[in-house]
Amino acid sequence: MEHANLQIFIAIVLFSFLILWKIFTARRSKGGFIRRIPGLNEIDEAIGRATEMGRPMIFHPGVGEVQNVGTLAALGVLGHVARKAAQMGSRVIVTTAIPVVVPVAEDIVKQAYTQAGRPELFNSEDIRFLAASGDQLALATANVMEQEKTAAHFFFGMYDYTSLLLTEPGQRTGAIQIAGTDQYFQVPFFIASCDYTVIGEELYAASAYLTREPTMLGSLIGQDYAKIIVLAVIVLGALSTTLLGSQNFFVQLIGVYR
Amino acid sequence: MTKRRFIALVTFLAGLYYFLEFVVPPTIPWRTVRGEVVSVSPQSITLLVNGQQQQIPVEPTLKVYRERPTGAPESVEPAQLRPGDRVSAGPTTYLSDWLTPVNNFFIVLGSMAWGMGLISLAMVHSGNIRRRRPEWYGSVVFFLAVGGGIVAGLGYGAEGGWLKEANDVVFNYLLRPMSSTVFSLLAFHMATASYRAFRVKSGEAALMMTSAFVVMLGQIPIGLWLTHGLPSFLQLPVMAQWVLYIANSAAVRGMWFGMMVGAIAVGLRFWLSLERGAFFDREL
Repeated sequence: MEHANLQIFIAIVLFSFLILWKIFTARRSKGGFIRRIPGLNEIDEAIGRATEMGRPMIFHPGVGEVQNVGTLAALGVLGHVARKAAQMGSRVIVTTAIPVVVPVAEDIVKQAYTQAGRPELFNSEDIRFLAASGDQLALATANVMEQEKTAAHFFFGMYDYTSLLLTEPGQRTGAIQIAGTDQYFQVPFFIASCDYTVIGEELYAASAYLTREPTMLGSLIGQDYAKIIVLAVIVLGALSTTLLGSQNFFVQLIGVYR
Repeated sequence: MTKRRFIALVTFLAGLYYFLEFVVPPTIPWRTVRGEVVSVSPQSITLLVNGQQQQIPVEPTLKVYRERPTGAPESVEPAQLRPGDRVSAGPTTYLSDWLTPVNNFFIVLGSMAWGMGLISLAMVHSGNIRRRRPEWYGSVVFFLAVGGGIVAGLGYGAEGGWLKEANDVVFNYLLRPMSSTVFSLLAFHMATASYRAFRVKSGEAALMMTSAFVVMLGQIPIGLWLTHGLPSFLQLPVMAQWVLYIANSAAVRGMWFGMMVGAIAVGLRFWLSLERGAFFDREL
Protein backbone atom coordinates (compact mmCIF):
# COMPACT_ATOMS: atom_id res chain seq x y z
CA MET A 1 0.00 0.00 0.00
CA GLU A 2 1.57 3.25 -1.12
CA HIS A 3 1.27 6.29 1.11
CA ALA A 4 2.78 9.74 0.80
CA ASN A 5 5.73 10.56 3.03
CA LEU A 6 6.16 14.11 4.30
CA GLN A 7 8.23 15.24 1.29
CA ILE A 8 5.72 13.87 -1.23
CA PHE A 9 2.87 15.43 0.74
CA ILE A 10 4.58 18.84 0.66
CA ALA A 11 5.34 18.46 -3.07
CA ILE A 12 1.73 17.55 -3.91
CA VAL A 13 0.31 20.42 -1.87
CA LEU A 14 2.82 22.89 -3.33
CA PHE A 15 2.26 21.78 -6.94
CA SER A 16 -1.52 21.74 -6.49
CA PHE A 17 -1.42 25.22 -4.96
CA LEU A 18 0.70 26.56 -7.86
CA ILE A 19 -1.58 25.03 -10.49
CA LEU A 20 -4.80 26.23 -8.82
CA TRP A 21 -3.32 29.69 -8.19
CA LYS A 22 -2.38 30.09 -11.85
CA ILE A 23 -5.77 28.74 -12.96
CA PHE A 24 -7.64 31.36 -10.93
CA THR A 25 -5.19 34.10 -11.93
CA ALA A 26 -5.60 33.20 -15.61
CA ARG A 27 -9.39 33.27 -15.27
CA ARG A 28 -9.19 36.89 -14.22
CA SER A 29 -6.54 37.98 -16.72
CA LYS A 30 -7.95 35.98 -19.67
CA GLY A 31 -4.55 35.55 -21.25
CA GLY A 32 -1.47 33.41 -21.56
CA PHE A 33 1.03 32.31 -24.15
CA ILE A 34 1.38 28.72 -25.23
CA ARG A 35 4.08 27.48 -27.59
CA ARG A 36 3.13 25.99 -30.94
CA ILE A 37 2.51 22.23 -31.00
CA PRO A 38 2.46 21.17 -34.68
CA GLY A 39 0.59 17.90 -34.12
CA LEU A 40 -2.29 19.69 -32.45
CA ASN A 41 -2.30 22.48 -35.04
CA GLU A 42 -2.88 19.89 -37.75
CA ILE A 43 -6.02 18.47 -36.12
CA ASP A 44 -8.25 21.18 -37.62
CA GLU A 45 -6.48 20.73 -40.97
CA ALA A 46 -7.20 16.99 -40.90
CA ILE A 47 -10.86 17.53 -40.00
CA GLY A 48 -11.20 20.06 -42.82
CA ARG A 49 -9.60 17.68 -45.28
CA ALA A 50 -11.91 14.83 -44.30
CA THR A 51 -14.91 17.15 -44.62
CA GLU A 52 -13.84 18.28 -48.09
CA MET A 53 -13.47 14.66 -49.16
CA GLY A 54 -16.89 13.87 -47.71
CA ARG A 55 -15.46 11.03 -45.63
CA PRO A 56 -15.71 10.28 -41.92
CA MET A 57 -12.92 10.32 -39.35
CA ILE A 58 -11.85 7.83 -36.73
CA PHE A 59 -10.99 8.79 -33.19
CA HIS A 60 -9.36 6.13 -31.03
CA PRO A 61 -8.98 7.09 -27.34
CA GLY A 62 -6.26 4.53 -26.57
CA VAL A 63 -6.40 1.30 -24.65
CA GLY A 64 -6.31 2.75 -21.12
CA GLU A 65 -9.20 2.57 -18.68
CA VAL A 66 -11.34 5.68 -18.36
CA GLN A 67 -9.61 6.75 -15.13
CA ASN A 68 -6.20 6.74 -16.85
CA VAL A 69 -4.81 10.28 -17.20
CA GLY A 70 -3.92 9.67 -20.85
CA THR A 71 -7.48 8.53 -21.60
CA LEU A 72 -8.91 11.58 -19.84
CA ALA A 73 -6.65 13.85 -21.89
CA ALA A 74 -7.66 11.96 -25.03
CA LEU A 75 -11.33 12.49 -24.25
CA GLY A 76 -10.58 16.20 -24.03
CA VAL A 77 -9.15 16.06 -27.56
CA LEU A 78 -12.20 14.07 -28.66
CA GLY A 79 -14.38 16.95 -27.45
CA HIS A 80 -12.51 19.33 -29.74
CA VAL A 81 -12.49 16.97 -32.73
CA ALA A 82 -16.22 16.28 -32.35
CA ARG A 83 -17.01 20.00 -32.01
CA LYS A 84 -15.06 20.88 -35.17
CA ALA A 85 -16.55 17.94 -37.05
CA ALA A 86 -20.04 19.02 -35.96
CA GLN A 87 -19.40 22.61 -37.10
CA MET A 88 -18.25 21.33 -40.49
CA GLY A 89 -21.04 18.77 -40.70
CA SER A 90 -18.71 15.80 -40.73
CA ARG A 91 -18.83 12.39 -39.02
CA VAL A 92 -16.56 11.11 -36.25
CA ILE A 93 -16.41 7.39 -35.54
CA VAL A 94 -15.04 6.48 -32.10
CA THR A 95 -13.70 2.96 -31.66
CA THR A 96 -12.75 1.52 -28.29
CA ALA A 97 -12.09 -1.72 -26.45
CA ILE A 98 -12.99 -0.18 -23.08
CA PRO A 99 -16.74 -0.42 -22.41
CA VAL A 100 -16.76 2.40 -19.84
CA VAL A 101 -15.44 4.75 -22.51
CA VAL A 102 -18.56 4.17 -24.67
CA PRO A 103 -21.07 6.21 -22.62
CA VAL A 104 -18.49 8.92 -21.86
CA ALA A 105 -17.50 9.29 -25.51
CA GLU A 106 -21.14 9.18 -26.54
CA ASP A 107 -21.93 12.02 -24.13
CA ILE A 108 -18.99 14.11 -25.37
CA VAL A 109 -19.80 13.66 -29.07
CA LYS A 110 -23.53 14.18 -28.54
CA GLN A 111 -22.82 17.36 -26.56
CA ALA A 112 -20.52 18.62 -29.35
CA TYR A 113 -23.14 18.09 -32.07
CA THR A 114 -25.86 19.63 -29.88
CA GLN A 115 -23.73 22.70 -29.14
CA ALA A 116 -22.97 23.12 -32.83
CA GLY A 117 -26.69 23.13 -33.53
CA ARG A 118 -26.50 19.88 -35.52
CA PRO A 119 -27.96 17.25 -33.16
CA GLU A 120 -29.47 15.37 -36.11
CA LEU A 121 -25.96 14.49 -37.33
CA PHE A 122 -25.17 12.59 -34.16
CA ASN A 123 -25.47 8.84 -34.53
CA SER A 124 -24.91 6.70 -31.44
CA GLU A 125 -23.83 3.83 -33.72
CA ASP A 126 -20.68 5.84 -34.47
CA ILE A 127 -19.46 5.26 -30.92
CA ARG A 128 -18.33 1.69 -31.28
CA PHE A 129 -17.20 -0.82 -28.72
CA LEU A 130 -15.66 -3.20 -31.23
CA ALA A 131 -13.83 -5.79 -29.18
CA ALA A 132 -12.76 -6.57 -25.65
CA SER A 133 -9.03 -6.76 -26.30
CA GLY A 134 -6.56 -4.41 -27.92
CA ASP A 135 -5.40 -6.59 -30.81
CA GLN A 136 -8.93 -7.56 -31.79
CA LEU A 137 -9.91 -3.91 -31.61
CA ALA A 138 -6.99 -2.98 -33.87
CA LEU A 139 -8.19 -5.46 -36.50
CA ALA A 140 -11.78 -4.27 -36.20
CA THR A 141 -10.69 -0.62 -36.44
CA ALA A 142 -8.64 -1.42 -39.55
CA ASN A 143 -11.80 -2.96 -40.98
CA VAL A 144 -13.75 0.23 -40.21
CA MET A 145 -11.02 2.22 -41.99
CA GLU A 146 -11.45 0.09 -45.10
CA GLN A 147 -15.25 -0.04 -45.03
CA GLU A 148 -15.93 3.60 -44.22
CA LYS A 149 -13.00 4.91 -46.30
CA THR A 150 -12.03 7.24 -43.47
CA ALA A 151 -9.91 10.26 -44.35
CA ALA A 152 -8.45 11.21 -40.97
CA HIS A 153 -7.41 9.11 -38.01
CA PHE A 154 -6.75 10.40 -34.50
CA PHE A 155 -5.01 8.18 -31.98
CA PHE A 156 -4.78 9.83 -28.58
CA GLY A 157 -4.35 8.31 -25.14
CA MET A 158 -2.51 5.41 -23.60
CA TYR A 159 -1.20 2.79 -26.01
CA ASP A 160 0.50 -0.57 -25.86
CA TYR A 161 1.89 -2.86 -28.58
CA THR A 162 -1.32 -2.41 -30.57
CA SER A 163 -0.23 1.09 -31.65
CA LEU A 164 1.35 -0.23 -34.84
CA LEU A 165 -1.54 -2.61 -35.48
CA LEU A 166 -3.78 0.46 -35.59
CA THR A 167 -1.62 2.95 -37.43
CA GLU A 168 -0.02 0.82 -40.12
CA PRO A 169 -3.33 -0.22 -41.74
CA GLY A 170 -4.33 3.45 -41.43
CA GLN A 171 -1.15 4.50 -43.21
CA ARG A 172 -2.01 2.21 -46.12
CA THR A 173 -5.43 3.83 -46.56
CA GLY A 174 -3.73 7.18 -47.22
CA ALA A 175 -5.61 8.95 -44.43
CA ILE A 176 -3.93 11.75 -42.52
CA GLN A 177 -2.95 10.35 -39.11
CA ILE A 178 -2.30 12.27 -35.91
CA ALA A 179 -1.30 10.48 -32.73
CA GLY A 180 -0.49 11.45 -29.17
CA THR A 181 0.54 9.23 -26.29
CA ASP A 182 2.15 9.43 -22.88
CA GLN A 183 3.68 5.97 -23.33
CA TYR A 184 7.16 6.77 -24.56
CA PHE A 185 7.80 3.20 -25.77
CA GLN A 186 5.07 3.69 -28.36
CA VAL A 187 6.25 7.14 -29.47
CA PRO A 188 8.77 5.82 -32.07
CA PHE A 189 6.06 3.64 -33.63
CA PHE A 190 3.72 6.59 -33.92
CA ILE A 191 6.48 8.79 -35.35
CA ALA A 192 7.18 6.13 -37.98
CA SER A 193 3.59 5.51 -38.97
CA CYS A 194 1.72 8.80 -38.40
CA ASP A 195 1.94 12.19 -40.05
CA TYR A 196 2.10 14.06 -36.75
CA THR A 197 2.85 12.89 -33.25
CA VAL A 198 2.15 14.59 -29.95
CA ILE A 199 4.65 13.41 -27.36
CA GLY A 200 4.33 12.87 -23.62
CA GLU A 201 3.02 15.81 -21.65
CA GLU A 202 1.93 17.59 -24.85
CA LEU A 203 -0.99 15.18 -24.70
CA TYR A 204 -1.97 16.55 -21.28
CA ALA A 205 -1.67 20.08 -22.65
CA ALA A 206 -3.83 19.24 -25.67
CA SER A 207 -7.15 20.37 -24.17
CA ALA A 208 -5.64 23.70 -23.13
CA TYR A 209 -3.99 24.18 -26.50
CA LEU A 210 -7.09 23.38 -28.50
CA THR A 211 -9.68 25.22 -26.43
CA ARG A 212 -7.52 28.20 -25.28
CA GLU A 213 -9.71 28.38 -22.21
CA PRO A 214 -8.11 30.59 -19.51
CA THR A 215 -8.65 27.83 -16.94
CA MET A 216 -6.70 25.34 -18.99
CA LEU A 217 -3.97 27.80 -19.95
CA GLY A 218 -3.57 28.76 -16.30
CA SER A 219 -3.15 25.09 -15.45
CA LEU A 220 -0.33 24.85 -18.01
CA ILE A 221 1.44 27.86 -16.53
CA GLY A 222 1.09 26.31 -13.06
CA GLN A 223 2.64 23.11 -14.43
CA ASP A 224 5.60 25.09 -15.73
CA TYR A 225 6.15 26.66 -12.30
CA ALA A 226 6.07 23.17 -10.77
CA LYS A 227 8.60 21.96 -13.34
CA ILE A 228 10.92 24.84 -12.47
CA ILE A 229 10.80 23.68 -8.84
CA VAL A 230 11.56 20.08 -9.87
CA LEU A 231 14.44 21.31 -12.00
CA ALA A 232 15.81 23.41 -9.13
CA VAL A 233 15.67 20.39 -6.80
CA ILE A 234 17.52 18.26 -9.38
CA VAL A 235 20.25 20.89 -9.86
CA LEU A 236 20.64 21.48 -6.11
CA GLY A 237 20.68 17.71 -5.47
CA ALA A 238 23.33 17.12 -8.12
CA LEU A 239 25.48 20.04 -6.90
CA SER A 240 25.22 19.17 -3.21
CA THR A 241 25.95 15.48 -3.86
CA THR A 242 28.94 16.37 -6.03
CA LEU A 243 30.35 18.88 -3.55
CA LEU A 244 29.31 17.43 -0.16
CA GLY A 245 28.81 13.71 -0.73
CA SER A 246 25.65 11.61 -0.84
CA GLN A 247 24.64 12.07 2.83
CA ASN A 248 24.47 15.85 2.85
CA PHE A 249 21.70 17.91 4.46
CA PHE A 250 19.85 18.70 1.23
CA VAL A 251 19.70 15.09 0.05
CA GLN A 252 18.41 13.97 3.45
CA LEU A 253 15.86 16.79 3.41
CA ILE A 254 14.32 15.64 0.16
CA GLY A 255 14.45 12.04 1.36
CA VAL A 256 16.28 10.43 -1.57
CA TYR A 257 18.22 7.90 0.51
CA ARG A 258 15.51 7.11 3.04
CA MET B 1 -27.47 22.34 -14.10
CA THR B 2 -28.44 19.74 -11.50
CA LYS B 3 -26.82 16.95 -13.50
CA ARG B 4 -23.60 18.91 -13.83
CA ARG B 5 -23.49 19.76 -10.13
CA PHE B 6 -24.24 16.17 -9.17
CA ILE B 7 -21.41 14.87 -11.38
CA ALA B 8 -19.04 17.50 -9.96
CA LEU B 9 -20.01 16.59 -6.38
CA VAL B 10 -19.61 12.83 -6.88
CA THR B 11 -16.29 13.37 -8.69
CA PHE B 12 -15.05 15.60 -5.87
CA LEU B 13 -16.06 13.18 -3.10
CA ALA B 14 -14.56 10.16 -4.85
CA GLY B 15 -11.36 12.08 -5.58
CA LEU B 16 -11.21 13.36 -2.01
CA TYR B 17 -11.33 9.83 -0.64
CA TYR B 18 -8.42 8.67 -2.82
CA PHE B 19 -6.44 11.84 -2.08
CA LEU B 20 -6.88 11.49 1.67
CA GLU B 21 -6.17 7.77 1.54
CA PHE B 22 -2.85 8.57 -0.13
CA VAL B 23 -1.71 11.46 2.06
CA VAL B 24 -3.08 10.46 5.48
CA PRO B 25 -0.86 7.84 7.16
CA PRO B 26 -2.60 4.46 7.59
CA THR B 27 -2.03 4.59 11.37
CA ILE B 28 -2.32 7.53 13.77
CA PRO B 29 1.26 8.95 13.69
CA TRP B 30 1.60 9.94 17.38
CA ARG B 31 0.35 6.54 18.56
CA THR B 32 2.34 4.47 16.08
CA VAL B 33 5.26 2.43 17.40
CA ARG B 34 8.13 1.40 15.15
CA GLY B 35 10.48 -1.42 16.08
CA GLU B 36 11.67 -4.99 15.68
CA VAL B 37 9.40 -7.91 16.52
CA VAL B 38 10.59 -9.91 19.55
CA SER B 39 7.58 -12.18 20.03
CA VAL B 40 3.95 -12.46 19.02
CA SER B 41 1.02 -13.86 20.98
CA PRO B 42 -2.73 -13.70 20.20
CA GLN B 43 -3.06 -10.96 22.85
CA SER B 44 -0.01 -8.78 22.15
CA ILE B 45 3.05 -8.06 20.04
CA THR B 46 6.35 -7.41 21.78
CA LEU B 47 8.57 -4.95 19.95
CA LEU B 48 12.15 -3.85 20.57
CA VAL B 49 12.00 -0.05 20.42
CA ASN B 50 15.23 1.90 21.00
CA GLY B 51 16.72 -1.02 22.93
CA GLN B 52 13.67 -1.43 25.19
CA GLN B 53 10.88 -3.98 24.91
CA GLN B 54 7.38 -2.60 24.46
CA GLN B 55 4.13 -4.56 24.43
CA ILE B 56 1.44 -3.61 21.92
CA PRO B 57 -2.00 -5.07 22.71
CA VAL B 58 -3.70 -6.72 19.73
CA GLU B 59 -6.96 -4.83 19.32
CA PRO B 60 -9.46 -4.76 16.43
CA THR B 61 -8.27 -1.26 15.48
CA LEU B 62 -4.57 -2.23 15.40
CA LYS B 63 -2.87 -2.08 12.00
CA VAL B 64 0.58 -3.56 11.50
CA TYR B 65 2.84 -2.72 8.56
CA ARG B 66 5.91 -4.83 7.87
CA GLU B 67 8.86 -3.08 6.21
CA ARG B 68 10.29 -4.65 3.10
CA PRO B 69 13.81 -4.32 1.64
CA THR B 70 12.26 -2.70 -1.43
CA GLY B 71 8.88 -1.10 -2.02
CA ALA B 72 6.24 0.18 0.34
CA PRO B 73 5.53 -1.52 3.71
CA GLU B 74 2.93 -4.31 3.51
CA SER B 75 -0.11 -4.62 5.74
CA VAL B 76 0.02 -7.88 7.71
CA GLU B 77 -1.99 -9.64 10.41
CA PRO B 78 -0.20 -9.98 13.78
CA ALA B 79 -0.19 -13.78 13.36
CA GLN B 80 1.91 -13.41 10.19
CA LEU B 81 4.74 -11.67 12.03
CA ARG B 82 8.04 -13.40 12.74
CA PRO B 83 10.73 -12.38 15.28
CA GLY B 84 13.18 -10.01 13.60
CA ASP B 85 10.59 -8.35 11.33
CA ARG B 86 10.77 -4.54 11.28
CA VAL B 87 7.26 -3.22 11.73
CA SER B 88 5.24 -0.14 12.54
CA ALA B 89 2.04 -0.71 14.51
CA GLY B 90 -0.69 1.63 15.63
CA PRO B 91 -4.43 2.38 15.64
CA THR B 92 -5.91 2.62 12.15
CA THR B 93 -7.02 5.88 10.56
CA TYR B 94 -9.73 3.80 8.79
CA LEU B 95 -9.19 5.34 5.35
CA SER B 96 -6.99 2.52 4.05
CA ASP B 97 -9.37 -0.08 5.52
CA TRP B 98 -12.00 1.11 3.07
CA LEU B 99 -9.72 0.98 0.03
CA THR B 100 -10.65 -2.54 -1.06
CA PRO B 101 -14.45 -2.05 -0.73
CA VAL B 102 -14.24 1.30 -2.56
CA ASN B 103 -12.11 -0.26 -5.33
CA ASN B 104 -14.57 -3.15 -5.55
CA PHE B 105 -17.42 -0.66 -5.88
CA PHE B 106 -15.72 0.90 -8.90
CA ILE B 107 -15.01 -2.53 -10.37
CA VAL B 108 -18.73 -3.39 -10.05
CA LEU B 109 -19.63 -0.03 -11.59
CA GLY B 110 -17.18 -0.68 -14.42
CA SER B 111 -18.53 -4.17 -15.00
CA MET B 112 -21.98 -2.66 -15.58
CA ALA B 113 -20.43 -0.84 -18.52
CA TRP B 114 -19.74 -4.19 -20.16
CA GLY B 115 -23.47 -4.43 -20.67
CA MET B 116 -23.41 -1.02 -22.36
CA GLY B 117 -20.53 -2.20 -24.52
CA LEU B 118 -22.51 -5.23 -25.61
CA ILE B 119 -25.54 -3.05 -26.34
CA SER B 120 -23.35 -0.74 -28.43
CA LEU B 121 -22.04 -3.73 -30.40
CA ALA B 122 -25.53 -5.17 -30.84
CA MET B 123 -26.84 -1.82 -32.12
CA VAL B 124 -24.07 -1.50 -34.72
CA HIS B 125 -24.44 -5.05 -35.98
CA SER B 126 -28.22 -5.15 -35.96
CA GLY B 127 -28.11 -1.90 -37.97
CA ASN B 128 -25.78 -3.59 -40.47
CA ILE B 129 -28.22 -6.48 -40.90
CA ARG B 130 -31.34 -4.30 -41.10
CA ARG B 131 -29.87 -1.98 -43.72
CA ARG B 132 -28.09 -4.78 -45.58
CA ARG B 133 -24.82 -2.87 -45.43
CA PRO B 134 -21.80 -4.36 -47.21
CA GLU B 135 -20.60 -7.52 -45.46
CA TRP B 136 -23.76 -7.58 -43.32
CA TYR B 137 -23.44 -11.35 -43.06
CA GLY B 138 -20.39 -10.69 -40.84
CA SER B 139 -22.83 -9.15 -38.37
CA VAL B 140 -24.92 -12.34 -38.41
CA VAL B 141 -21.74 -14.23 -37.55
CA PHE B 142 -21.19 -11.75 -34.71
CA PHE B 143 -24.54 -12.63 -33.10
CA LEU B 144 -23.88 -16.35 -33.58
CA ALA B 145 -20.40 -15.92 -32.06
CA VAL B 146 -21.77 -14.01 -29.04
CA GLY B 147 -24.34 -16.76 -28.44
CA GLY B 148 -21.70 -19.46 -28.91
CA GLY B 149 -19.25 -17.58 -26.67
CA ILE B 150 -21.80 -17.26 -23.86
CA VAL B 151 -22.62 -20.98 -24.03
CA ALA B 152 -18.92 -21.94 -24.22
CA GLY B 153 -18.15 -19.59 -21.32
CA LEU B 154 -20.45 -21.69 -19.12
CA GLY B 155 -17.90 -24.48 -19.43
CA TYR B 156 -15.15 -22.46 -17.73
CA GLY B 157 -13.68 -24.47 -14.88
CA ALA B 158 -15.77 -27.55 -15.71
CA GLU B 159 -14.09 -30.93 -15.18
CA GLY B 160 -15.57 -32.59 -18.22
CA GLY B 161 -18.56 -32.80 -20.53
CA TRP B 162 -19.49 -31.06 -23.76
CA LEU B 163 -19.49 -27.60 -22.18
CA LYS B 164 -15.82 -27.98 -21.24
CA GLU B 165 -15.11 -29.22 -24.77
CA ALA B 166 -16.89 -26.17 -26.19
CA ASN B 167 -14.95 -23.88 -23.84
CA ASP B 168 -11.64 -25.41 -24.93
CA VAL B 169 -12.53 -25.15 -28.61
CA VAL B 170 -13.66 -21.53 -28.46
CA PHE B 171 -11.10 -20.06 -26.07
CA ASN B 172 -8.04 -22.31 -26.33
CA TYR B 173 -8.17 -23.63 -29.90
CA LEU B 174 -9.73 -20.65 -31.69
CA LEU B 175 -9.33 -17.38 -29.78
CA ARG B 176 -5.80 -17.88 -28.50
CA PRO B 177 -4.22 -18.91 -31.85
CA MET B 178 -6.07 -16.08 -33.57
CA SER B 179 -4.71 -13.56 -31.05
CA SER B 180 -1.20 -14.93 -31.61
CA THR B 181 -1.70 -14.54 -35.35
CA VAL B 182 -2.68 -10.90 -34.93
CA PHE B 183 0.31 -10.35 -32.66
CA SER B 184 2.63 -11.84 -35.26
CA LEU B 185 1.41 -9.24 -37.75
CA LEU B 186 3.39 -6.75 -35.70
CA ALA B 187 6.62 -8.04 -37.20
CA PHE B 188 5.49 -7.05 -40.70
CA HIS B 189 4.10 -3.73 -39.52
CA MET B 190 7.41 -3.01 -37.78
CA ALA B 191 9.31 -3.75 -40.97
CA THR B 192 7.24 -1.34 -43.07
CA ALA B 193 7.26 1.34 -40.35
CA SER B 194 11.04 1.01 -39.95
CA TYR B 195 11.49 1.36 -43.71
CA ARG B 196 9.62 4.66 -43.65
CA ALA B 197 11.37 5.86 -40.50
CA PHE B 198 14.80 5.21 -41.99
CA ARG B 199 14.25 7.43 -45.01
CA VAL B 200 16.42 10.43 -44.27
CA LYS B 201 14.19 13.43 -44.90
CA SER B 202 15.52 15.93 -42.36
CA GLY B 203 18.32 16.57 -39.90
CA GLU B 204 16.35 14.96 -37.06
CA ALA B 205 15.59 11.89 -39.21
CA ALA B 206 19.32 11.58 -40.03
CA LEU B 207 20.17 11.78 -36.31
CA MET B 208 17.53 9.17 -35.48
CA MET B 209 18.76 6.86 -38.21
CA THR B 210 22.38 7.22 -37.12
CA SER B 211 21.59 6.46 -33.49
CA ALA B 212 19.36 3.53 -34.49
CA PHE B 213 22.18 2.21 -36.70
CA VAL B 214 24.69 2.47 -33.84
CA VAL B 215 22.33 0.80 -31.35
CA MET B 216 21.40 -2.02 -33.72
CA LEU B 217 25.01 -2.78 -34.69
CA GLY B 218 26.10 -2.41 -31.07
CA GLN B 219 23.70 -5.17 -29.99
CA ILE B 220 25.10 -7.82 -32.34
CA PRO B 221 28.57 -9.45 -32.48
CA ILE B 222 29.43 -7.89 -35.83
CA GLY B 223 29.40 -4.47 -34.17
CA LEU B 224 32.24 -5.47 -31.88
CA TRP B 225 34.04 -7.25 -34.70
CA LEU B 226 33.95 -4.14 -36.89
CA THR B 227 35.24 -1.77 -34.23
CA HIS B 228 37.37 -3.91 -31.89
CA GLY B 229 40.56 -2.18 -33.06
CA LEU B 230 39.34 1.29 -32.09
CA PRO B 231 39.65 2.91 -28.64
CA SER B 232 36.99 1.53 -26.31
CA PHE B 233 34.80 4.68 -26.35
CA LEU B 234 34.52 4.39 -30.15
CA GLN B 235 33.53 0.72 -30.16
CA LEU B 236 29.95 0.20 -31.29
CA PRO B 237 28.75 -1.82 -28.23
CA VAL B 238 30.06 0.92 -25.90
CA MET B 239 28.47 3.66 -28.00
CA ALA B 240 25.19 1.69 -28.14
CA GLN B 241 25.15 1.38 -24.35
CA TRP B 242 25.85 5.11 -24.03
CA VAL B 243 22.96 5.98 -26.36
CA LEU B 244 20.61 3.59 -24.56
CA TYR B 245 21.47 4.26 -20.94
CA ILE B 246 22.84 7.83 -20.86
CA ALA B 247 21.35 9.87 -23.70
CA ASN B 248 18.07 7.97 -23.84
CA SER B 249 17.62 7.80 -20.05
CA ALA B 250 18.17 11.55 -19.71
CA ALA B 251 15.54 12.28 -22.37
CA VAL B 252 13.07 9.76 -20.94
CA ARG B 253 13.47 11.09 -17.38
CA GLY B 254 12.90 14.61 -18.66
CA MET B 255 9.70 13.39 -20.29
CA TRP B 256 8.69 11.60 -17.11
CA PHE B 257 9.05 14.69 -14.92
CA GLY B 258 6.93 16.69 -17.33
CA MET B 259 4.32 13.94 -17.56
CA MET B 260 4.04 13.46 -13.81
CA VAL B 261 3.51 17.17 -13.21
CA GLY B 262 1.07 17.17 -16.15
CA ALA B 263 -0.77 14.21 -14.62
CA ILE B 264 -1.17 16.14 -11.34
CA ALA B 265 -2.59 19.09 -13.29
CA VAL B 266 -5.02 16.93 -15.30
CA GLY B 267 -6.04 15.08 -12.13
CA LEU B 268 -6.69 18.35 -10.31
CA ARG B 269 -8.75 19.75 -13.19
CA PHE B 270 -10.95 16.65 -13.29
CA TRP B 271 -11.18 16.31 -9.53
CA LEU B 272 -12.36 19.88 -9.11
CA SER B 273 -14.41 19.80 -12.35
CA LEU B 274 -12.34 22.65 -13.75
CA GLU B 275 -11.86 20.92 -17.12
CA ARG B 276 -13.53 23.27 -19.56
CA GLY B 277 -14.22 23.02 -23.24
CA ALA B 278 -14.35 19.25 -23.21
CA PHE B 279 -16.68 18.09 -20.48
CA PHE B 280 -19.80 19.40 -18.85
CA ASP B 281 -19.40 23.01 -19.97
CA ARG B 282 -23.01 23.16 -21.07
CA GLU B 283 -26.01 21.19 -19.90
CA LEU B 284 -27.53 19.01 -22.61
